[in-house]
Amino acid sequence: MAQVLRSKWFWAAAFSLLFVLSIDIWAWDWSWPTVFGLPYIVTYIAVLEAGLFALYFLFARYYWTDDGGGA
Amino acid sequence: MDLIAVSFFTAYLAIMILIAFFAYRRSTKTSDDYFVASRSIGPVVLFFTLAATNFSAFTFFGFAGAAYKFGLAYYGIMGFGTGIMALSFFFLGRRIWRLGREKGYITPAELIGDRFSSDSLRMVFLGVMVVFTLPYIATQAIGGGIAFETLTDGEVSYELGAVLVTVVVVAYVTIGGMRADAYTDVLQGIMMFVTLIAAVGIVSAGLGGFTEANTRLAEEFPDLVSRPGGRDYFTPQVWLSFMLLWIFCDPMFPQLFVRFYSAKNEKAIKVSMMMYAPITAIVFLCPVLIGAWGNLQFPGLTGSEPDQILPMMVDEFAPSWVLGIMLAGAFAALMSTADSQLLVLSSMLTRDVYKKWVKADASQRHEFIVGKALVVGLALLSLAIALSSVETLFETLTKTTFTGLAVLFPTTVAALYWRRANKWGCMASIAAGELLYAGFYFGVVPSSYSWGFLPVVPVMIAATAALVGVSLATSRKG
Repeated sequence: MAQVLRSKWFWAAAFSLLFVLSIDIWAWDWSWPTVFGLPYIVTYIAVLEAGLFALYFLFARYYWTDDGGGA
Repeated sequence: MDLIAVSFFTAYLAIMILIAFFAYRRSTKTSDDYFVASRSIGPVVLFFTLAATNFSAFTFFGFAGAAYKFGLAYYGIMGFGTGIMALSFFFLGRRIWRLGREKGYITPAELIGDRFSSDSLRMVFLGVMVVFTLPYIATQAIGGGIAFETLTDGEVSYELGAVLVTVVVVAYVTIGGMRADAYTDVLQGIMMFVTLIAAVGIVSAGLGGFTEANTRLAEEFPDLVSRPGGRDYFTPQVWLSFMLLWIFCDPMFPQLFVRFYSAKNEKAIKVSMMMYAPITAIVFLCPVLIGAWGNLQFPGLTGSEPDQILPMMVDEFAPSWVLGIMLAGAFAALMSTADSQLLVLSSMLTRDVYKKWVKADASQRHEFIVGKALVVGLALLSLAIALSSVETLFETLTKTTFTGLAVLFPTTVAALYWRRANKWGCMASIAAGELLYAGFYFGVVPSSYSWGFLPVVPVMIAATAALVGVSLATSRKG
């Protein structure tokens, strides 16, 4: 697993996928309420931001190393 | 005018000046220290100074105003777009930091000019950054004027408010330089965060509760909780355009670019990248919610009126002294951006113009003094712009600064990653991008030519194509 997390292809794919997910044209007219009455789009973006934080954390931990790795 | 609010605000301004003196005592009175804090900014301060500099008066007033008009989906293009932009801290920031330490760069144009061995390109790059940053500083003064007028119920005019904000910013930037800028950003960032969260609490309570406010919004203004949103604004093309706009534009803000030089180590940049996702997720949601909820209380605002919806909503549901504290948060946002812009423009004019063309043998001490004088001069110039016209923040910014600076993105990436790029390719890139953008802005190029996207998309395609095509077609040595 750690080896996968040190692959630039894995990170290119992971961040690209997250970006594509942010262009959610398949759900363009969804508007139903979710938690606290917030509409779908607000909750969806908040979930994506949580995913982004997780990716950043793992990226910094395994790929962006202080010894100059990830170049 | 509420005495508690004014006292709180006065205390805030006084603390800014005190922090500046604290920073001054730690400074070494060299240009390296004045402009990039001797490259000593650690992780916590770097994160706060990047965020506070990035989040401006636009974050408070512009976001709320746009959400009032277009709905809650505005959170998507602002929150996630800016969050994923922080990936550029790795791709660009890390290399910029390394080159800065290795070569002693202080300004963005120094790096570009040195990489391509071209003074002409350095001046072009500098010119674009100056032209598109000056109006942005003026925008902060405009925000200050609006906030002051609201805080004092019109007793202090918009013009006087803009002047006061400018004077305080000039004072602490002149005294403490980048160190004061960064330290004040920590306090200002915390103030922004706390006041926006508190504002959401106050306003939602006034509307009957958080869930109730959202439920009412969905029932009474269903277009504001879905896409395409109010005025059918959010087409897929516009959505994608904004996501790309922040990725291309934000790292090209000179005030963010130079913060990579000021980092103490890579860890500082890394931590800042990680924290950008949660901070944008939380901070950007607050003004968007308040702005959209504003329709429940103040329906039918037109023109630039929606830009004032945030203070109007807080004023509606809280005692006036609370509004004063909230507005101090807004001031923190705009001042933390304006101070950084003033400092970076001063550094660019000092290093890229004065030292390069006027006094090549200027010592660091000499540059330090010239830099301070330029801060004052630039502040007066931006104030003059602010007092000459008041336009909707959102329109002003998206139409000029953001896309205008995004044009520099291909050149910067090429400088850091593409060995075959040369100065001709970069100049062609900047020229093609800016000319096409000017064509769209002034209506010479029909808007239909952008295929429903914001101009930034065709502009970036043209800039990238010109860079690649001309670089390949001309000598490798340029």
